[in-house]
Amino acid sequence: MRHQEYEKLLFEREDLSEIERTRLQAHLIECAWCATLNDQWAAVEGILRSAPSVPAPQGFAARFQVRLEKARQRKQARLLLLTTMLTIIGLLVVASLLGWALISSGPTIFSWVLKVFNQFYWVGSVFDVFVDMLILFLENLLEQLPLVIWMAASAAVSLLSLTWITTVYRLSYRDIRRE
Amino acid sequence: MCGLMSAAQRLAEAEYIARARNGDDAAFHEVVNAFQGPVFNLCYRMLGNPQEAEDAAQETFLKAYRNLRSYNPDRKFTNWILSIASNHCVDRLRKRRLQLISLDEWLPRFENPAPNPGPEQTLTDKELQEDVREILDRLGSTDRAAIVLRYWYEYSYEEIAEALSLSVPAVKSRLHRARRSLAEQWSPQSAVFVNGGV
Repeated sequence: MRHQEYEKLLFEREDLSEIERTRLQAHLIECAWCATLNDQWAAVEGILRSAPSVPAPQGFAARFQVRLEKARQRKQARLLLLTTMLTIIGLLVVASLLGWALISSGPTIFSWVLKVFNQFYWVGSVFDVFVDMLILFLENLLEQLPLVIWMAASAAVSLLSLTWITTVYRLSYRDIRRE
Repeated sequence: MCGLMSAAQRLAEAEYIARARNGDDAAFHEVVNAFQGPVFNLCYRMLGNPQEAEDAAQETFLKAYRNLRSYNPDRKFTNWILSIASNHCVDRLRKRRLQLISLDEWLPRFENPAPNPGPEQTLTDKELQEDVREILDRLGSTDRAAIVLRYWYEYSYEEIAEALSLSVPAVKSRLHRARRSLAEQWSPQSAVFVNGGV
């Protein structure tokens, strides 16, 4: 028990009061075990205290700049991938919603498809076909889709556009710092 | 040991830290220049290898850059960045232990990154650094961080506790245990350690 008490003093010498220091010195004279431990710790502590700080290698800051730039590029690449994926997912969702609405609208879907093919054969110009298809598509939708679906589709498209614009904005201006 | 700063230096530092927090990259470059020494030294003492220490120090600055907005200016910047560095090194040492790779196989035994001292000085430095490394290698990662912060940065128990997210009694207990273990293992006859590492 006595050793433990002095060990505490021995390893915390820098925080000792004058009285504690004197008590420790007196104990070290009469206790060989603590005196040995004291000498051994003094040797280790001497090494620790005499070791100088190691300076950073030459060019450290320049290499950090390169690393920072690479980290930025990686972050931007990740954001770009995220934007692309969000856009694709969004488009797929909108396409699915519209597709489902058309399919579930009954036999008129076949007439719609027939009209599209007829237009394709009769007009001949790809551009015209495309424009006509679009017009037809919209006309059919107006006739077939209930107002609720239109509103839902519009909201989805708006939300998707907003997400896309926000992501592109962040991609352009956001750094790798956390907000 | 890691150098005291003048009031003017401290003021200049506070200014570019504030500018860096507001997104000024040139100011952050100044921060790196000013703190690369203490951060590298901490990583070197913790990891014992200059290449790994540089990598850890660079990661520390990257983490600091990313989290600069969360830095509280009422706190000493040195304490904040050294806390990031010591926690990063503790994590690395834990991963290293998990990988079960011997340090001797994995790392070159000693390379001093200090610039061009004379041959005699180099030998003395190498011996001293070798001794230091041997001492630190015997400690667990958190105990090692506590010893490094205490002896190279003259941190108080409170500062060590803050840096390592420990309580003050836990720091005292860790330091006591580490010192006792090192003293007991030291062989005074040959001035080397007698047992295997902790």
